Amino acid sequence: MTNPPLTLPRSTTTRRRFLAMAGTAAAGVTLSTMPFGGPARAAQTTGPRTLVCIFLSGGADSFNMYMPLDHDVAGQDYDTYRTTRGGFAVPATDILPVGNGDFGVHPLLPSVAALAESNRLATVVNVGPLARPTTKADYLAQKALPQNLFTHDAQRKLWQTGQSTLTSGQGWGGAVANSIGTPTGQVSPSFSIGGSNVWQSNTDTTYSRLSPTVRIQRLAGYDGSLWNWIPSLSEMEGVMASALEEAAGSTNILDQAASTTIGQSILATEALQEATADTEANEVGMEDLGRNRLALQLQQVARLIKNRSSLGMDRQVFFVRIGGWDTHGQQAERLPVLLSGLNQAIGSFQGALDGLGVADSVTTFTASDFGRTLTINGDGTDHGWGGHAFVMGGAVNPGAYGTFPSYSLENNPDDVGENSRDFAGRLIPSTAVCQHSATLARWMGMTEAEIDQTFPELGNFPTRDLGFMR
Amino acid sequence: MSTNSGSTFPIPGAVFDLPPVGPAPKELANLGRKLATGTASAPVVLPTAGGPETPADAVRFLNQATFGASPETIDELLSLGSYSAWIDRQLTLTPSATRPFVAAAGNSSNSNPRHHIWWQNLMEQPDQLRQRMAFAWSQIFVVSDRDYILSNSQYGMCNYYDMLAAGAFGNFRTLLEQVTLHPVMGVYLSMLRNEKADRSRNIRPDENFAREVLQLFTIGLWELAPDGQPRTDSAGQPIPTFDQVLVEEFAKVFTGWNFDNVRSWTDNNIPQLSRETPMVADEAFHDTTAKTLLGGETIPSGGTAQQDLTAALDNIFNHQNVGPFVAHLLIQRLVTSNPTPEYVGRVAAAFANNGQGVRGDLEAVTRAILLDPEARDGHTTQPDTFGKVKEPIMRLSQVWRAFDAQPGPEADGVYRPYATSIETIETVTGQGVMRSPSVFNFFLPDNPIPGSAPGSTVVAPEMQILTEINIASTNNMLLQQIYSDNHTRDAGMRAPIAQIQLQPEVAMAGDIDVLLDHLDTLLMAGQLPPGLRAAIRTQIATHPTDAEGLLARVTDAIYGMVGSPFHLVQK
Repeated sequence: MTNPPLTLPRSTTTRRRFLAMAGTAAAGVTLSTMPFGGPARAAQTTGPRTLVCIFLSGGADSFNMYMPLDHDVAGQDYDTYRTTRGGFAVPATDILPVGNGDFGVHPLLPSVAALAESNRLATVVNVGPLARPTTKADYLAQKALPQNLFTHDAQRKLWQTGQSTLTSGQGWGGAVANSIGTPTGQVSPSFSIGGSNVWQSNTDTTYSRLSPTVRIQRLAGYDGSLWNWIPSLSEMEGVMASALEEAAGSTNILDQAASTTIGQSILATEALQEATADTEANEVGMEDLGRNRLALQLQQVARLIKNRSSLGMDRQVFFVRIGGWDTHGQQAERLPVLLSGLNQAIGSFQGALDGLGVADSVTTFTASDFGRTLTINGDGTDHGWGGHAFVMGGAVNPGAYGTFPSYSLENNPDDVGENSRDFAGRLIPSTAVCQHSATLARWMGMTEAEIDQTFPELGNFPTRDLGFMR
Repeated sequence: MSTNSGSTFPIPGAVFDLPPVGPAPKELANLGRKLATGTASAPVVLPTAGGPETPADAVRFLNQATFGASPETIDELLSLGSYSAWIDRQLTLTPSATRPFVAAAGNSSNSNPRHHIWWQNLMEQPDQLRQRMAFAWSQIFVVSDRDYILSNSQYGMCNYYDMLAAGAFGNFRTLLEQVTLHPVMGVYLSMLRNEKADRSRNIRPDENFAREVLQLFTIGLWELAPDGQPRTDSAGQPIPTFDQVLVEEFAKVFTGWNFDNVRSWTDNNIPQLSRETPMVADEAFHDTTAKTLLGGETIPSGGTAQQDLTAALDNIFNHQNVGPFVAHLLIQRLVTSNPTPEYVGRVAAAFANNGQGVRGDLEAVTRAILLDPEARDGHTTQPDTFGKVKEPIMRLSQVWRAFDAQPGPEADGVYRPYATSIETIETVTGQGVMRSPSVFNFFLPDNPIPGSAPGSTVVAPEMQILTEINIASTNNMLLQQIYSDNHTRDAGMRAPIAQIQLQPEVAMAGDIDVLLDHLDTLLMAGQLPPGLRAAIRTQIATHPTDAEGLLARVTDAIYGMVGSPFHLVQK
């Protein structure tokens, strides 16, 4: 398969670097195999950096978020997209072009188009969990495939561990937080406003799970200074402390876990109450959020970024999540609502980052369970594998990265279907989640040794760094 | 479609009788019997654990089988003297329902009444085991009105929940078909209006229900041995139960179903009752090609939607995984997060054969779970791993039931904590009935203990929603309930907050050890650890024996237990 490189990076220096490399590359080598960055580059350790994962839970139909427009390659062009997507195809005239116009984003994502316009958008195309470069022949022979393909929980986990097997429950975001480190007695710089997740799970570094809307209450009863209108509580503090200690020493593993969890709650609620409160000091300039749950989560992120120096955090890792993307049915009604919400959240968050003057040190990326089928099941789409993902912020090298797949329903080498009858547009990824993730982890300052430990399958791929981060 | 009525769901006083769903129970009972024929016929012995020897034994059992031990239910169980007899009695009780209350409220888009009646039932109705099982099933056959269409179908949501309650002791096969054809599930997993492939429009069947009915409701992702342990191939690798091709085959089966009483396939004028009557087939949209099911079984071409559905559900129902898969999930909901394979195996055996040759008898499964030696004695036989983290809302229900909470004086008789809206319980605790974020429930069955070592297999599903924020807010809600919203609260100040009644405890608080023994039994099932007991004892001994001091003894002692890490865990 010979796919020409995608949109060129726009910034002059990056463009020059890219062109220099392209000149030395063998014909037919795609952008994803270019040795951008790579192992030789030393870990960046200066200046504050923040990584934000926006997880689109349920499997976002990213094939309708980022689409070919003027991209004139057989099987990858707009006409093939339109034919394969049938009634779900977005009219070409509605698509918002990005970069040189070869590709564009959904008309309901003008915030993303605006990021592209200001050279702050990278798109990684057809990315998904892989153990090693995988062809259709490999798929049909069931050779080294990721476990439990096409299932929500498994594929979500693989996206969050950066691996292809389910055995590890350690997320790569947690590994990043662990490499940042947490001073004794402080809360870790890893926060989820989107609930428990695998991405931040790490044996050695915990993360705090906050709410987008609920004001943090400190844990009364364990601190005698709180709720002192109840006379006994000043005396109960000692009782509760002894209970915490006794449970920590229990032989029962659940008692121990309960003790740890309460202890973590005491620490986190005390440390973070002020930094997350809806106060003037925490104003970040995100307005009219209404009931946009993603925007409300990102508002908490922005508050914690604003307070990062007072929290003593040079680096921070955030996870937010918005559900509803499993659009098997009524996609025509549901997807626009989801995209509008995403657009408003991204736009509003970017405005806050600009206002805070931190846009160059915050990188936000989208991830999801999987890409969906290109074909329609009547009124929706089903579970796929590879999909497109956005990376946003002032530190990205703008452009598209990876090998764009064929959308064809005839003899499609990227489709898992065996014959034309089976072609549903479930695409074999051409770029691995571990490559994508390692690129972000490296930007966050992880060393190559830590990266190898976190992504044990990275060595199976020719490119260790996709090059979309400066 | 069967048209029998009346006896299927005997819900007295129902404003609308629940319509029959799926084939009549008798047919399915026969079906179950027939299907069991030819399975291994080793003699089946269901456990018949004795009875509680102490009140603490009774509390342990009741915290597994109900929404919390109360003095009344403890007395009842002790006087019956037999767990089995208690279950027998529970089976005779009329199922309580949610649908009539919500219908009386008259707004199918208002979800408050659904939560109100759910709490009211679990506080006031005696059919506790049925309701506890319904709640457990609502976390397996998951639907959630976080889906915006279902948020406007509150009668249907209630009808679905009442269906789970009505079927809690029936046959799994019956319940599976009722769930499959319920329009609420039809909307939630988009089987409703799922149509056959049409090459001219480049469309193919929706795979949503097909995949999740296999993965989440019945067999799971891996081939299981009868004890729930994964089977492995010659290379030692676990064996997947199905692949993408099989999902596509099942997707073809589940085509052709629509709301009842609509004029056409796409008619958007949907009568309210059609959101709670079983979906009906529209054969024009059913895929009539042949299908290959689990184990290579095939459905010939030309079948009707109902014929194909019956064959497919039979095929799933008879897969060897269903027993151990369902057993494991139910054990986790009621008893322990990390059951031994032997325990799972015993419950799975009851699923396979209820002792009378019937597969899928949920009464037998329920008995097997609660009467098993591991359920009854696990806290002493496996003290290091036995037990489960309580579901967050059950910490509240246990405290309310232990102390005979009375609803606020408002006419609706609703139980509310200090927050004014009962829906706020969800905000505080992170959990509300039929409010999970996705079909994967509030938490995954294999959620690891946070920070556990790589490779650790010990799980704690409920910890997935015990966030730092919810831990603190739940603690504070309980603290407020104990210290402020008790029987001493000024009537004028208390509306609309539920009050716990602590008069019996105050009456015994003159003797500290009597009080502590009583509370240890009632709240901790006799498992209050010695250090905490000593610390509480020292603290409450500082209070005098006047009225105020006695109440302070009681509230400090209760909070000392309920606020402690030990109350998060049910052992």
